[in-house]
Amino acid sequence: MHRALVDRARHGDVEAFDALARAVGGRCMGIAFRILRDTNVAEDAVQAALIVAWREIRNLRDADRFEPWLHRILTRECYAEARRSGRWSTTLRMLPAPQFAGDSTSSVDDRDQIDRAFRRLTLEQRAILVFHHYLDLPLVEVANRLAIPLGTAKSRLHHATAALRASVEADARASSREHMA
Amino acid sequence: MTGSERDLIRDYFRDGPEELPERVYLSMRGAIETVAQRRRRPWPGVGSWLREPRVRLAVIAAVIVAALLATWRLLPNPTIYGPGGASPSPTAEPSPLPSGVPLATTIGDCTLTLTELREVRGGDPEAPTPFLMSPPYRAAMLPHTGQPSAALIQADGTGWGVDGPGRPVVSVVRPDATLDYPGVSLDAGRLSTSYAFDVPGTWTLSIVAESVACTQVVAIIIDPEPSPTPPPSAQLEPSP
Repeated sequence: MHRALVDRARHGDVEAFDALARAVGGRCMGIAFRILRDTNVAEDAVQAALIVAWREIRNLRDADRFEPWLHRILTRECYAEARRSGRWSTTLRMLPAPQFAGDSTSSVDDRDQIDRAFRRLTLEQRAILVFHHYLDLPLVEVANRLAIPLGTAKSRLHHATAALRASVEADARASSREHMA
Repeated sequence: MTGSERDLIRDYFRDGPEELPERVYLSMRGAIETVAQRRRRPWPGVGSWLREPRVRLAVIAAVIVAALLATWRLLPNPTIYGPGGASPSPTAEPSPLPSGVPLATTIGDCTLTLTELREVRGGDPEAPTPFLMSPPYRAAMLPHTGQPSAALIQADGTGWGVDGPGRPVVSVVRPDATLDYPGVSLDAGRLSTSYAFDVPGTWTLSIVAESVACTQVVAIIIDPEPSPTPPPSAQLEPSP
């Protein structure tokens, strides 16, 4: 659906590229925020990715693959932006999760636990979880968008999930010990 | 990964912004318009290209070489060896020129005008034949660099003063400068060629010694008709 816009943008049409950016910018923001967990850094990463895309759009061979191509650039920019800001490595002080009764609050508790665990993952692990579970892409496509071999994608997804699980369980154990004390 | 784990992760990803603020689009727009303006300029990308270290180094090297070449070309003309001229070297012993035959005193830059060619060559045009410039044509060859690798070809085609360790190789260039004929060689002072000198005009003979010591040698054809009153200046017009 973006083919015409991509073709125009490749010929230097700023308006066409602006329209393209508005069409895909929201999803890019969603990806960047979920990888980086920081709105400001995510906005910077998306903006940088769009500018890089404008510069390099002439090198895009298949106009139909614009969005995957942009996601690949976006992932690179997320990594770069995180390194620049240093925020992704911010050490979080682990607080004991408050225990509430009821289903709705236990859901919030689960989310907090996952959030803490997710922030402990590496950027590469976060990215593969986002592409696989947020965009709901098959691993072949995830590997393509992350510019990694399929085997690496499978292995990375496995390790990311294991690390997430281990981190959640460790949190749960720490939390129960504090309550026991 | 269990189904519940997958659901938890997906639920976790459900929250979060999915809109890009307008200010980001505006900022991006400003940036890409700047890039677009740069592209519209003539020679787009030359600036960034020149910022490449290797390209910059190559440009600097080219400028230095050009400056050296310009300096070299501005050097005074090399001395002509022969009667009244400097001795080519302590080891070279050029034979004397026939008396009464003037020798060009200024060489210019490799080219003199030969107003008339009488005798062109002898023998089969396909086979290298002695280059017999009709008497009294002579060719004086002297090195650009002032190295003592000068050769002087006398009217009968024999040479003298061939100096230096290498055998010079002579190339002949047509007046229109479209033909570079390398099949001419100077061997033991004898210039031979299979090229027919049938076109009057400006000729350039350049001789390059095979040895590095002998660099480029310029051949000058002089045309002093051995008449009682030879007008060399009328027949020889050095290029500016």
